[in-house]
Amino acid sequence: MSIWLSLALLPFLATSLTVHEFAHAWSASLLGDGFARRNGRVSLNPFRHMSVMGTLAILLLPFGWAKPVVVNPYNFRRPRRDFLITSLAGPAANLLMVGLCLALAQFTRHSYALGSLWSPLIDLTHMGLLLLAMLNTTLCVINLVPIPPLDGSRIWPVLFPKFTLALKGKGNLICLVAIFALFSSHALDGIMARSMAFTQQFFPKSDRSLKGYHPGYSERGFAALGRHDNRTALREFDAAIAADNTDSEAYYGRAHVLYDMLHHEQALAAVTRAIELTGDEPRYYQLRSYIYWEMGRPAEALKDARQVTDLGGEMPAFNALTQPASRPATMPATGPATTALQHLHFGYDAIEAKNYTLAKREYETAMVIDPHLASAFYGRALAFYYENDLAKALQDVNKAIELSPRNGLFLTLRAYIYWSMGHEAQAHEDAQRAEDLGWQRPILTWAKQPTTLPVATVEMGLLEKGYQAIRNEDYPAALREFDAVIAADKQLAGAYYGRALAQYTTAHYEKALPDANRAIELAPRNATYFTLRSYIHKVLKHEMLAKEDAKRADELRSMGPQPATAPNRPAPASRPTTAL
Amino acid sequence: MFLIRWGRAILSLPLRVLGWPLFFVCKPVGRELLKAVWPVTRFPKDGAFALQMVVTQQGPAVAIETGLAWAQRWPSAHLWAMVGAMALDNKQLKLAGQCLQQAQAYPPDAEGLVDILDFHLQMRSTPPGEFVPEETMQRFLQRRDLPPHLGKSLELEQLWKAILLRQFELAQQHAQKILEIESAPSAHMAMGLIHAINGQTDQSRRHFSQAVFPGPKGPSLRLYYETVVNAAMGNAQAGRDCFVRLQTALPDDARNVKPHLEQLMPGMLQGIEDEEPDILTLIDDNSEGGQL
Repeated sequence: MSIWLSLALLPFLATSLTVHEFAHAWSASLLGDGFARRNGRVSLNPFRHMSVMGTLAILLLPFGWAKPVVVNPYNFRRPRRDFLITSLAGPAANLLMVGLCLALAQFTRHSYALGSLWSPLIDLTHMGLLLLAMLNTTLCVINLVPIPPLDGSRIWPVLFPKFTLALKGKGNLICLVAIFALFSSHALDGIMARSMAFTQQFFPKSDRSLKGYHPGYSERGFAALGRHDNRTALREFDAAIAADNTDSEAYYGRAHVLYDMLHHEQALAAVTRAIELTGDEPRYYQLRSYIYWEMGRPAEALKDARQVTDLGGEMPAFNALTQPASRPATMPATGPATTALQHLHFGYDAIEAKNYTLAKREYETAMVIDPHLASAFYGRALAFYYENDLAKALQDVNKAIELSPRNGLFLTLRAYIYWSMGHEAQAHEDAQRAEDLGWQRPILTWAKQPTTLPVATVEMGLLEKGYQAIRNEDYPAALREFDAVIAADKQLAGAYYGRALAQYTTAHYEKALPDANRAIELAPRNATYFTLRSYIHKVLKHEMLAKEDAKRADELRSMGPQPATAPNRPAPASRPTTAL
Repeated sequence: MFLIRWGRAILSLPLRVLGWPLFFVCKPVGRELLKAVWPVTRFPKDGAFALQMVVTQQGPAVAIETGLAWAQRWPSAHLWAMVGAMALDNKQLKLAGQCLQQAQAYPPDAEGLVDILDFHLQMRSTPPGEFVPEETMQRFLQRRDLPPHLGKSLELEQLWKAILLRQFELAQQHAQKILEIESAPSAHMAMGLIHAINGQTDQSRRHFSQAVFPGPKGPSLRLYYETVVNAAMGNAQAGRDCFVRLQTALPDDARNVKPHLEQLMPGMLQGIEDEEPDILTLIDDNSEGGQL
């Protein structure tokens, strides 16, 4: 054995021997024998225990020893029992050390848990703990051999009543020869190998040691993500990163989970790290574009979206709002309708920026993608209206109304268009209809011609799609749409109303009630919301509450038009299953 | 400090490695080599070992003289206690007491030699026919940090005191405690006596047969205990015969135990005269304030 290896081994062997001898001394002291304490052996200071010759042996041989702790059994209250306990304390302490090493190794197994800077130190500590565990296992096993001066020679005789205690633990030359013969004949190799294998079996594998094989953290993370088990997925991805902080897939997976959990800032940091590590993976840019999108940073989202297409990936759909609650590990599915919504949003931005040409182009793209998207026609109509191209504006708004006839916003715009075109009667008619649908009645006076009108936002487009889904009796789709709107804007009463309606229609009354409550909370003067809630209460057998809501709905209807903040509201897609 | 000790130990390694095998093959050469370890290491334990070699080679007087010189130059509790023990063996009680005082001035040695010396000095200072004073016994018994050897000595002292005072139940307790820990021949003798008194002949024989006293002084020691046992059992003639032989084998012990035996079985030793004490011992003991 090289001197360097011996020197490396020395602190570990010294620690193990110190703990072993300390346990003997301490237990003896606790049981009434103060001789070891008097000699300063109840101490974890290695210098109190290390024998000069034993230390030299560590350096020259593959083993060593410490000064034996002398106990005086005449000081014990129950000499036989206490002597046995004291003798067992040494090997037991080594076993405890093994347990401690195993426990600590749980913290040092992740090489990158504290970052790259610390990873070599963590690895070294982990290796040290493994070595310490092995040495303590060896010490424990060797000391059970019943040859003096080993502890076994004191333990086994006590277990048999005929034998007296083996007080002379020093052993003689014959014993030393026997020990030497035992080791050199490899007679103990089998049991030693088994005991060490037993310890190793429980010793947590270092991530670094697994890296070359198949850590599987990321795979398990993506699998958990597929099962919608975000917590497990996050744990696995964190483990993967702790194992290897250059694993871009792990960062990507982590970002994905965080994105699902709406922790956008952390998700952004993770995916940005993934991009730093692997800059040519379109999926990473795609995810980041979604994150930017949801964080309200469309310019950066677009930039990443272009990067995706440059890298040959699929153009992001920006349907983050309609993402299902869980997504496959790779990337959310994209569809033409959702891409249309993206262009709706671009159109909105363009109108805000008074770039009507660009707005029209975006809305037209949306129309190409989804020819039944009323909001796209409304948006282009708005652009034409601001450009004073009233004929084309009328044409588009008519189409929008045709597709969504109960949308007060569209009727409001048409009222203004008619008014601008001089068709006062039709303008008033549309104004009245808009008012009937719960919208603020357009003020059709020349003096108060509006300079701006609400723009069809993505949220509104989604609301529209949600209501359309209810009309088509596609309630899961409707729920998805409303969920997405609520995720984007938690103050939109119409979204809660829509979701309550979808839940109610699918007989999920308990789920419908909180949404209806929220909708009423946000828009307390909307009679329709009260009507729906009265239906829900009725079904849930809340007779009094149902009557109160019905009464309130009637009162509101008798009070006249609804506030301007009220969203468009569709008629219930189907009659309540329970008659009121 | 540890490194210095460590360095010295390395230097002494060749002497130890060569010395021990040679000690078994060629004693004089082995002894010299092992004696040479002490000047290299200056570990008190090695000094004590070297002193034992000097005793074997040059006798106790030279060893004590050498030991005193070493202890004054490289003082330690262990070395002083070792010299004290040699002085005690050589019946120089005053010197042993002085060595004990010196030893107690230093941190206690790991082997507890100082305490052992202290107790044995007390024992040897006790006049014949008396027991170690109770307060002295209590001083030791109340301490729970005594070395194993002293623990056993205390237990044996109490055991035989109980027997000489005919407190056989108490004696049995002490004997059982000793035998639970180790197979001490004197404890076997005591148990044999107690079983014999209780009429348990087989057990008594078994214990007497197990009372094997090793070493050259073994038969003499057995004779001592046989004398006490016979006296306690009322075997006057056997006890008397044993005592007569004991006076030859261990005159000091015979002189010390005689008053106890007379109390244990009056008339057993009638007509037996005391052996003449060693004149040198008389002089030496008188010089210390005397016990005779």
